[in-house]
Amino acid sequence: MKVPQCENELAVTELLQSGRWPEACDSALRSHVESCAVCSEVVLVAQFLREEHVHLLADVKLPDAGLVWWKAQLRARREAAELATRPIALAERFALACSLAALLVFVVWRWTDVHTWLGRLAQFGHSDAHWFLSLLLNSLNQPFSIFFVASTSLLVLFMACLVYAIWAEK
Amino acid sequence: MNKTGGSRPEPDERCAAMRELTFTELAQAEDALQNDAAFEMDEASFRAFYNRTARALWAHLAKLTGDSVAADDLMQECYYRFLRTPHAVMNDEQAKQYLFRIAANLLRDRWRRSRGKVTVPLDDAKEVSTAEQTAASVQARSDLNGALRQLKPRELQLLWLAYVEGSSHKEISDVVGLRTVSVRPMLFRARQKLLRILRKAGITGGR
Repeated sequence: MKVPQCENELAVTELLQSGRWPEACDSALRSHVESCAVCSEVVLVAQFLREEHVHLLADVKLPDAGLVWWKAQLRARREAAELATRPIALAERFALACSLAALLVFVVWRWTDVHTWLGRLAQFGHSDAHWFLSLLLNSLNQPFSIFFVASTSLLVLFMACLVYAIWAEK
Repeated sequence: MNKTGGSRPEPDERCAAMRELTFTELAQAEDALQNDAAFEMDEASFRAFYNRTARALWAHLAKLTGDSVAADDLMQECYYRFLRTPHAVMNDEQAKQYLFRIAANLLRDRWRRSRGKVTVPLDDAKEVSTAEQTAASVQARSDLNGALRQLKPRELQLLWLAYVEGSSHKEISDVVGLRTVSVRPMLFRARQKLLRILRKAGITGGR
């Protein structure tokens, strides 16, 4: 494709860039632009776009350089921390995967026993619940049972706080 | 542009940003302010560079996305990527070119993600900002903005770099990722397209 060119196009563009068009422009160049299709098109397009530029920036409030700097610092630190803890996260996921795999292997290996146990669990009725509750109540009368209850309660409370802390962190 | 002295952002801007942070991130932020070793460039140099380039970059991003919020986010991303890249050997012009190249890459990713949904969106919300604007001028501007949507993002990008930023064809090719010999014909076609739009809108020069 043959693109029409003019040797004065660059000069006209520079004048537009520097804001010297048309007042501080050479009269010969000005009259050239009036007669040259290429240069007059450049002037029209450039003036339009530069006015768009001024219009865009008229009421804009850009963030302070310090805020941009601070956010960039923060993000860099966060990414560095994530990179540093990535091996730990990978190890945790690997450990979880191994645990699930071990559980699956166990279930498959001892499927008959697991199936029997699940069947008994499904038949856990009112009499069984009553038996379990009476067992629990009788155990409270045993020595040091209060320590067992207190430590179990503390453990449950600690787990709840841990879960809450992790959820709040996210 | 907001101009403040000192090395800290405005308190209300910082408070607004801090509300989005967790406790760990706040601690890291304070640590970061005391130890600026994360980047090659120091804060004073960055401030000077930012003050030179921010307005032009924001206008470029805002025009090509048509969304001032997206322009803010992209601008932050541009400066972050710039800071993360080694650039000690660049002079001011090269650094600015590099910054605009980052912007071009981010814009290209954004356009690819929104392919087919938007051509050249423009921020029509800005058109009713002042009381002096008559209904006719607001409507005319809105119509023009609608017409400008016929321009492809790449076309507007080339025109903006050439006629607003004053970039040479070589600089445009470096920023946008085109061959230098391709810039002239593409720029010519974009210019012709914009001229048809302007002439249809009755804009013939002398604005």
